[in-house]
Amino acid sequence: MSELERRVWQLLRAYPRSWRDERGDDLVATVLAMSRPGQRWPSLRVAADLLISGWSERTHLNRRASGSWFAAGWRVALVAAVMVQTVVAGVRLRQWMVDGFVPMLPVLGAASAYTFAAALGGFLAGTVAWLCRLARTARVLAAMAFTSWFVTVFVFQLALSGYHGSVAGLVAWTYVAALATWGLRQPRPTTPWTVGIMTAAAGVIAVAETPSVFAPSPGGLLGQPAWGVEPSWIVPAWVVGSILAILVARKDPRWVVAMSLLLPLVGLLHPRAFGAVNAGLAALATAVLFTAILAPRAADSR
Amino acid sequence: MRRPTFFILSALAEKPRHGYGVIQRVLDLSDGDIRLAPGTLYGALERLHEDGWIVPDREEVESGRRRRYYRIEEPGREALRAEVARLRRDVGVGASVLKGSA
Repeated sequence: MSELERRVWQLLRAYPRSWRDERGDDLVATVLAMSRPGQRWPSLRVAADLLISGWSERTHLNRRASGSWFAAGWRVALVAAVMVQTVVAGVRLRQWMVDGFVPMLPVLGAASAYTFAAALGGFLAGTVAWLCRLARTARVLAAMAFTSWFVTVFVFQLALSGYHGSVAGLVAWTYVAALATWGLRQPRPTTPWTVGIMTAAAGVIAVAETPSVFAPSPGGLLGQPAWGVEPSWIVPAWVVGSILAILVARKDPRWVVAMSLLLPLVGLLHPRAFGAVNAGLAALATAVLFTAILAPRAADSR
Repeated sequence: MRRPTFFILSALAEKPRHGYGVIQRVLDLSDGDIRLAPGTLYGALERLHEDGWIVPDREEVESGRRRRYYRIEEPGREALRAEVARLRRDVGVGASVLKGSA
């Protein structure tokens, strides 16, 4: 067995054992046929493809949405939660952002605090959509997270505060940038109006907290109670949720189920710091779930 | 129908092929535009098999490894014909519009 073959078999461990036993030989033969003479390592593209495809096969994420889409949505949510929690817990994203943007210009700092909800939602949703192989959805949502947060806040942060940042924090946002870049390179680029709507959704969530932006409380954003409910976000959250559901629920209900499970959890992660934002995220999740139940399931796309 | 799927079915419509054969033929048919990665290809073949559009044709042993050949079935051919008809209609619309606006 050559070194290349041995390494390909190692990559195939991402696939379930039964799949490897039945089709592993064929797949390995294909990879070897594609390789150059004397090649010892699979290319990065092939390695990533095998890992992602194997993972999809193992988690049944490559199955078309069928009658068991609700259970599949739970599975997607679990996988995404593990992935995202690993990143967030590892880099202490919340603390990095709190320490980073609070000292900035008051208006920009407050506004960026609220767009964090949209950015985190986009980050999470993009990951989930990517797991569901909804390339177009992942592209749009990752672009939303990337543009609404990384460019406007991260760039300003470095420019204005001289913040050096933590390597781990940079890794997290590199992941978002990579996800957005991957999504943007997919064939059939997203139509501009879709990206515009999604970007506007980030702004809607931020604007939903307008009273706090222009009349900050003495405790500031961070002093808000955990379960404070601001009626100003209800309508925008429902509008955003409806738009999201109409645009993506038709494609694959698994995504909607997974996001509806995850968004309230994300909203509950740091209640003391992001009270009103949590409520906004929870409302968004409720709106998405409610609308998704009513939205018709679409024909599968092959 | 997604473009890679269209070309996979087209490759198999000519004759039964194994995985690498499909990758090579799709690359030729698409003028190098579509480079299928092996994992993605086998996932697509699985889905097409589930839908009854393709079936395993035979297995051959080459260099000590099993190679599975796939062939297209009638539902797959029908789907391919329908897609070709749709694309022809779309091209006709585009050509007509461009001609009218010239």
